[in-house]
Amino acid sequence: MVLPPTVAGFALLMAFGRAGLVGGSLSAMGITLPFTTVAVVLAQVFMAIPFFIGPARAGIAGVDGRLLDAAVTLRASESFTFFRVVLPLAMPSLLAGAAMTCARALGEFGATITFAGNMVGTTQTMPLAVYMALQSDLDAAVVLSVLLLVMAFGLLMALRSAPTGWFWNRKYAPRPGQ
Amino acid sequence: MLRAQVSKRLGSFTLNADLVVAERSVTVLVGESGSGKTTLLRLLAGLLMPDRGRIEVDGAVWFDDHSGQAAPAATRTVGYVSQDYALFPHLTVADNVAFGLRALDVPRGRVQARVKGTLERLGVGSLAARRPLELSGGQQQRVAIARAIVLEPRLLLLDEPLSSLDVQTRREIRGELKRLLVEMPCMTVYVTHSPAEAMAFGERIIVLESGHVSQCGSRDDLMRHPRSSYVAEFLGVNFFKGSLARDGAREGVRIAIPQGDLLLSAGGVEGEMAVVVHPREITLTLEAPAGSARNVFAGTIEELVPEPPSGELVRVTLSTIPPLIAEVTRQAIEQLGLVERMHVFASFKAAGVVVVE
Repeated sequence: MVLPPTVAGFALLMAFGRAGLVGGSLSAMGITLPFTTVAVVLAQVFMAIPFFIGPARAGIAGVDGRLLDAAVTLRASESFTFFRVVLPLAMPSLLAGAAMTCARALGEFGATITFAGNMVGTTQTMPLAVYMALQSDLDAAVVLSVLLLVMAFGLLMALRSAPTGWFWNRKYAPRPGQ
Repeated sequence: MLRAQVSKRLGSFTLNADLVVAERSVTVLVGESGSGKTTLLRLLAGLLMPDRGRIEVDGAVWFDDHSGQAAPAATRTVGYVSQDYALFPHLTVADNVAFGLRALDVPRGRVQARVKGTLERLGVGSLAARRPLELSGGQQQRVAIARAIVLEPRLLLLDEPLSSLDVQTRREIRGELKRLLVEMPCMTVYVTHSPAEAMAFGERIIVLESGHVSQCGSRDDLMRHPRSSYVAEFLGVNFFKGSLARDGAREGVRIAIPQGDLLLSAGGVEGEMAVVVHPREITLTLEAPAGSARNVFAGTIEELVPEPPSGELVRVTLSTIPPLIAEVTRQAIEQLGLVERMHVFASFKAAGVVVVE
């Protein structure tokens, strides 16, 4: 989270560039990543993923160990327990993390422009478009900015007003055991 | 048949326990908090592995440190009901009960039939679509038991199943649970704090004290020969430790306990000894007794507790020195007009003092 976006973009370019560590073998297979739409996604994931990992880890660690014990004594395998108990109980945290990640990715600028460039129709994201519009058409910049703001805000509101059914585990307060 | 001999170290606590549970029987495990009851259950369930020992159920080895066998918990045919029930809060009652069957890939139609049947057997068939949070404590408890027994376990482990219920519900469920356990074709280990539950459920009672089995036997064995003050207190028997002090033939045998003296009819061993006085041996009077009872103590009544279930007997806790517990009939209480804080004399014959150690 502390990595400056431009530096992150540069690092990605170094890694996935034609002469890069990973990029070298990729280009041998005929795959070029930098300055493509895939690069945009990669840059955004790279920058935003910490916003998912924090809440997700907390959510999974927050699942009551006694429920896992119960699952084991009910003959459940680890994967069965993960999909039937851990995942649904951690879902609110996972969704919250996903929404935060989404909001962060929506506004990503530095890493994207460094790694993916700013090509209209393939790699230009909204923040990049706002920056470009700012130099020529102020009205377009305002419209795009407002749109971005509405989208980010909408995400936050959706998260806040999610059906309470997703949040039952907050109400779950087991009795203190021995 | 369950045979277990396990030892487990957890920090500074060490559990060392032997356990034999016969087919279709209920063994009650009692002991203070921290005596290792829950740890022992977790070892049997496979949630913890022993450091040393062997666990064998119906001839199948679940754990053996010599051969290195250690069956994972998920392979053991165990039903485990924890103190807090640990129902899955996101699943309905029916899905909670179906959980284990689905984990075992039981065909869908059979799952439904077995879930329905088990819920009905426990009287909670109408709650199938509810979530655990919408249930009362007693209903949650029934669902937790249904979830455990629907898998037809060989070994049913109940960890203080009634302790988080209110008194009224507890009394209700105790009877139901007793009937259920009698019908169950499996072995049951039942952990409890409550003497009443130990009496009601346990054909055999095992007493754990700081990680060791201090005594095991039938209820009557324990009543007659409690081996420690904890067992005696747990069962409500007066238990004293003291040393023999012979005072000449006239006086008979006297044993000195920290709070005074008790008179015995027959001599015991020299030196340290333990004696019990059964609460039924103690007579309560308002005046100093002039009868043949040779042990007389004065004090006030601290508490009057009717003995469940019939309530025909009343347990009387006395603040005599030493403190005594007497058991008298309700008619006697009414006749004497005994109430709490009243000053009375407690007496018992020298023959009522039984040497147990």
